[in-house]
Amino acid sequence: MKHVATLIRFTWRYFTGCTAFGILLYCVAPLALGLATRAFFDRVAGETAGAVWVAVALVAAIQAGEVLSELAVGRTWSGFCYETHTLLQRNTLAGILRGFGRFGLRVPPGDAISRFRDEPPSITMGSMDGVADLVGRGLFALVGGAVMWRIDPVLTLAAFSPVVVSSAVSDALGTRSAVHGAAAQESTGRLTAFLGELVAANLAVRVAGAAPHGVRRLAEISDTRRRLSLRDRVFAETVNSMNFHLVHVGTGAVLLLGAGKIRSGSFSVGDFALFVVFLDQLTYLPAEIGRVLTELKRTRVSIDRLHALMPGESREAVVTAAPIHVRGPLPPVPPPPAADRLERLDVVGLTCIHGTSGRGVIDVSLSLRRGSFTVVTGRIGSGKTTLLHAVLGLLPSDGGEIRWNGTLVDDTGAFLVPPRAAFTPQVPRLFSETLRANLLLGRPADEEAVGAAVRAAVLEDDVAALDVGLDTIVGRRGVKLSGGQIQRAAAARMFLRDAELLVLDDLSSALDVATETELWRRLFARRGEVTCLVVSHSPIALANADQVVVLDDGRVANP
Amino acid sequence: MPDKTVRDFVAAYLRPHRPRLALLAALFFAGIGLQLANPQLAKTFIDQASAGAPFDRLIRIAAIFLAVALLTQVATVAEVYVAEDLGWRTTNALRVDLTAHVLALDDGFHADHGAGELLERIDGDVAAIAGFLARFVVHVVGSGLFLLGVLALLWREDWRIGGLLTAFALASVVYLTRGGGFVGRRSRQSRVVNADLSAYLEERLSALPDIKANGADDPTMRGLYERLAARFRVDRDALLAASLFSGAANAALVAATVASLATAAWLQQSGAITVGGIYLVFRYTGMLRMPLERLSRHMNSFQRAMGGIMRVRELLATETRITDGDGADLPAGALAVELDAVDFGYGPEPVLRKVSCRVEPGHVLGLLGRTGSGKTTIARLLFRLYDVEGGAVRVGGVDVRDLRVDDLRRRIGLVTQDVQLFAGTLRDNVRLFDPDVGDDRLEDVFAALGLEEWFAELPDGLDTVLGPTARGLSAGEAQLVALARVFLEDPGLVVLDEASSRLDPNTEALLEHAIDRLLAGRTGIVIAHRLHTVERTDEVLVLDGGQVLEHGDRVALAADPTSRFAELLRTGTGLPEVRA
Repeated sequence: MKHVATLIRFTWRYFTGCTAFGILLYCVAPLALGLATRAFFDRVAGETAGAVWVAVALVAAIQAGEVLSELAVGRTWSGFCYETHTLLQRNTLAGILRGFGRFGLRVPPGDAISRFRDEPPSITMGSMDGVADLVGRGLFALVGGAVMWRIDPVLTLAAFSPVVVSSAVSDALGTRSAVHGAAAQESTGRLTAFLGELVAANLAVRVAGAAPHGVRRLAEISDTRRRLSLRDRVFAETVNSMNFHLVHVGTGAVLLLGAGKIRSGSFSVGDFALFVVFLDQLTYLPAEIGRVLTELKRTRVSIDRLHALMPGESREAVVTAAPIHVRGPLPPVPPPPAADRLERLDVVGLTCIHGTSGRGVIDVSLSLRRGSFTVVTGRIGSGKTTLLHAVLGLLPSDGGEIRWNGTLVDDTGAFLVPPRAAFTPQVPRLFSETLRANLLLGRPADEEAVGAAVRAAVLEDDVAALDVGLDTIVGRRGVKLSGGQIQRAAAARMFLRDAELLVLDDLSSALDVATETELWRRLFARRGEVTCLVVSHSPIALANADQVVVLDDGRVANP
Repeated sequence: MPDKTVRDFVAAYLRPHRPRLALLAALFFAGIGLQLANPQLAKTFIDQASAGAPFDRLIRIAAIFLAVALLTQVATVAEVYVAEDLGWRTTNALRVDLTAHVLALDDGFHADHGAGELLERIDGDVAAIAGFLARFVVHVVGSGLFLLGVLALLWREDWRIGGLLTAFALASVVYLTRGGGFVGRRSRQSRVVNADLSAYLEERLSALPDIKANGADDPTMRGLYERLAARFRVDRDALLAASLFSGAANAALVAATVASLATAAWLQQSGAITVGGIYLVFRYTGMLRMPLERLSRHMNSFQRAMGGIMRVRELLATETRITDGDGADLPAGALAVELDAVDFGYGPEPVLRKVSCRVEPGHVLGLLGRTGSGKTTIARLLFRLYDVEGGAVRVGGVDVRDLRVDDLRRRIGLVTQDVQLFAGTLRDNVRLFDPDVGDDRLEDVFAALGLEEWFAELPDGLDTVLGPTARGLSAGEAQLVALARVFLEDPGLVVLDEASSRLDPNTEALLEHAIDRLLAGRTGIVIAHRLHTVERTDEVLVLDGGQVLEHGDRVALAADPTSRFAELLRTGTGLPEVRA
């Protein structure tokens, strides 16, 4: 609830607007309509004097006002919902980015995307906007109830009792409904994750002829989701329709107890019509209360599911107010941080163990002095990539420290970024943008610097061979480039960061000998300017290294 | 109403569920009948009470009224159950069909369509269609029938009121079904920007190390802001268009309600209708609102579903350029490979030019050349991920275009550089979800590849969970999984695309041994950027700029000082010597 309140404060103008419209639509309008209807029926039945036409005109005016209000509420409501979605989604990605080094991405990207897409609407629509509507509906129950009481207290009690019963029942059932809802959401997450992997791994699946098996597995997961979602829906609908139909029971009770009074005329047809109009409106009250309570419980689940993407942060971080930039231009790009000259980087007793496999690196120490070239090598699975990721703060550390010019680095992941450090991962990822945008990665364009980085990465001939050079859209994950081109593009991207420390993970794995030799040659030509930490088995790199760190089963084998 | 192609599309998926449809229809009619009975009972009650009927008769009417209210509840829940079940079953079938179809499409298609986008099609659009099948069928068909029932009973009450409200309902239905174009256009735009947002996130979430370590947090957020702002505008416009659309319908309803009340009051003065009758008109007129509102509200879900159905049909209609041949037979055992004057390019630029070579069954060919020289392309052509533009590719003496694609791929194994793992057990990752492959066979595969020790060290054996959430395997170990996948297939031809290039010398033995076992008795094509991976080959082919520079016996070429291969051996200073 606290989190919902935070979100309401974020869009309080819209929320207030929604509440005001709610009062107009769900309280003022039905009250007026009920009274006008009573006047109409009492006049046609001849129980009250006065022109029928006046009553008809009243009914017309009230309903016309209602239609106009409904039109006007759209803008307010959409501002409320969509600004809230934007905030939640912005907070989620920001949280993922902040926490990646310490916690990684805890769910597969496909599942993360489905949470990102589905949870914000489930937080706003039906739950938070339901709260706004409840204000109007609640007011109506009070005022309308008082009007009915004045007409006939006994029949009012008869009409209201099923309403009270059903709201108590739906409140009690709300918890179970939330459990079913969570199970249905989980099954959707599983399905999306599997589907995402199946599509992402389509090449492996297709060439192995495994499509039928993958599709059969998908069918099984789909069927599980069908069962869980069905259970969820039917449960919700049972509660919902019980609320709805118990009110007809209320009308029945009025008929039953009021039979004598209607016959004697002490309860007029107009009174009955007013009761029916009011009860019709009250029909939605317990249903709304039940639904909003259920949805609010689901809101907690939704916030949890977003929060799970950003472990290490408080749940508040999901809902904390922040600029969302949906109107007007984006703020200017902040200037790059000032240079921070590297004299010496010390890795002291670094330990980083993977949760599931128990593998990783243990008690690794090494020192990089300015301008040195350090090669990490070792067996497959010996922890080379883990070491680089741990140094850069891309993995949670289980012990040890990193010192920059002798000063302890607190948050490595946030500290070892450009202009201090830059990185080429083992399997680099490019984005479906132009090659230039991929190299710049948000930096202001500087053709000279781009050209230099492209040359440093031995990519100039490839760029020249592309139809539109650096303006070529590289396709999803750089699919329009060869493996070697992607790797060199990532190297160029790293060179362009102008960092003190360059970290390269097996840069040469997709390069042929001549290209690789040339790349190392160009890098060695700049010796002394930059400090390098690379994973490589390349004899050229090993031969030119200032120090070689051999890893064996996560430990340094050559102390 | 939906056009014929859409109707046929939906009908095809509903057809297997005729009994459920029949049950749904029965529940529809029961529910509608019960709801229509309610005002009739109230009318009777009012008229009887005004006429001073006996007390017990009034009580009986009130009791029936109560029973009807309770029965309506049961019918409603049952209806929702059957309709939702039907919706899930049909869209699950559609989702499975779409996935199967996407997996059958060629590489050109997958290069253009990201996983995020396809996910949005297969999951997002299909979800919109699911909403359509469940709610649209219940609400639109149900509301339509309900509407007809109300109108019929109004005619029965008085022809003037019946006529007035029928004219109104007809006009509303025409407006609601024909007038929603501007709503549909906006909701289509909304789907497009949402798909773009998903694609953006999918790429970024897969590239977090690249982003974090290169300090691209701010630009990544900026990119998100741009897409969120676009989504905000488009979604809001779509919503406002929809509310304007239904607002106009509501305004008309108000006019009709007022007109019918006025008419009823006028008719009552001449005695043509009782006070109970006016109450009936009042209730039934009020009941027109719900089906019309639902029609208009679900017209939106219909519009969304229309957009979804259109895109899904488009996707299903996308034909793979790779079509099955007549289904010639491949010989058993190792397969010969022959490229015959092959021309190929991904775009206008040729990538392969008149490439010819032949590899005898059981031989291993090493493919060499600079990046971009066309090595990987040759592998793609062998698998028919693409088709040649000129010349022919023959496997086992048969043109690959004469084979059924599945038959071809079943006989060729591929080990890629980037092994794609699924979040799941090692078992499922090796057998790729084939339930017919037992654990014994998988363990035999590891044994045959000489990986017993590696396998024995895994914490949970075949149940070891791999994939993105369990960062258990290094890239090299992932390749072991890929080797096991291929070995399980028992192919006649193995293509290793730089399989060993990322492996370090110390553990290479493990993998080299496994590769030797895999290649034994099979034809092999090893795409290598490093010379030492060529050691196991019988012959060598050097590509340059999409053309064959030289092709011949590895030992002979190595011995010939004028060969390009020998030159590569010399310039690869420091590389382990290729043993002659």
